[in-house]
Amino acid sequence: MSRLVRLYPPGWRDRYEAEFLALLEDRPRTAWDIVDTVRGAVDAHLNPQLAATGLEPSPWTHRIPGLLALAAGLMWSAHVVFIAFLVAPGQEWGSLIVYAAVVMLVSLPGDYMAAHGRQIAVVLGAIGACVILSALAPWQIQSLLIIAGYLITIGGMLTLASIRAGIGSGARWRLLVASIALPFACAIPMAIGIQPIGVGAWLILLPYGLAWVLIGLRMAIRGSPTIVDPPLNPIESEVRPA
Amino acid sequence: MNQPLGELGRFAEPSLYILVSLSGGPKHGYAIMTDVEEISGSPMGPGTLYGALARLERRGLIEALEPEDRRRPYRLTGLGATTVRAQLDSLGGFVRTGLERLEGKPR
Repeated sequence: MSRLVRLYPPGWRDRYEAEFLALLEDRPRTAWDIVDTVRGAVDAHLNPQLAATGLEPSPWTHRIPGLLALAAGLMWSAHVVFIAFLVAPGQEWGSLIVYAAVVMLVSLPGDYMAAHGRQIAVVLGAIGACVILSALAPWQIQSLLIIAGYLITIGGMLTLASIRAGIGSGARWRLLVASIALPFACAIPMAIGIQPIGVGAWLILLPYGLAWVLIGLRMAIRGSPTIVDPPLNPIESEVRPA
Repeated sequence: MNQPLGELGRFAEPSLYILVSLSGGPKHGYAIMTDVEEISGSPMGPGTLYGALARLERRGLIEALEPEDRRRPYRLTGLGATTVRAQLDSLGGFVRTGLERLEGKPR
């Protein structure tokens, strides 16, 4: 059991290892303790500032969410260029929906997912429903459901990311409308059966990726404190009497 | 769970139990675990305990004292005492409202 403590990061071990081992010696070990210790090690790696000696958090941990969003935007843009030139017409939409969901989830760090789990669950549930229904529905309805899933994916994840980046509500709405309207306009010909859509039409999806790049840059430059970091004025913001 | 500790995600509930436990005086890890088990009726794992302790310490709600042997006690700070009081007041209001409604009193 004491070997499991080696899973924790060095900073955490410097601060907590001795008392943690003493705690493990004081109580009978259970299988759940092993699971919980491993889970705690993962948490300690995700939040290294927890074991920092001072109150100043590591700036790199603040930049991780922004860098992930930046990577998501760049991957999206590269993917769009790839399907515009290399993928056979008619095979692109499904991969885009799945791909968008994956990259957006990757760019939402664990602490944010914990704080906004309900909204994320709604978005993912709606995407799943669209995918299942589109598999069962007649072909005429399939296109609409695929487009709906696509829009839910883009709209939901982009909204969550812009909330995460602290973008004001006006700018958030403009970003959301612009990045949905253009791909939607691109999707209309496909929905009404005009195929193939041209290479140029696929490139209309690029602004969505570029929006993520901008969000990522903003988050990376400004930093994005995690929920474990103390507020600037803890007494005023923490204590809200009932 | 209302807002201040609710921001701690899965550590919110363990954190409140720890704050309540430390309201009775400084305790080290094992003493907190056994006390929390008594209060809540369910055990708290070591990873969860130290995840919550680190967050509470980071937010200035508890502070570590000098270790006794290898066991380091923790105690509530002034901010921690105010926060746990606000949390319990809020929960108390919730309980009162629920009981009043069960007894058929008008809203």
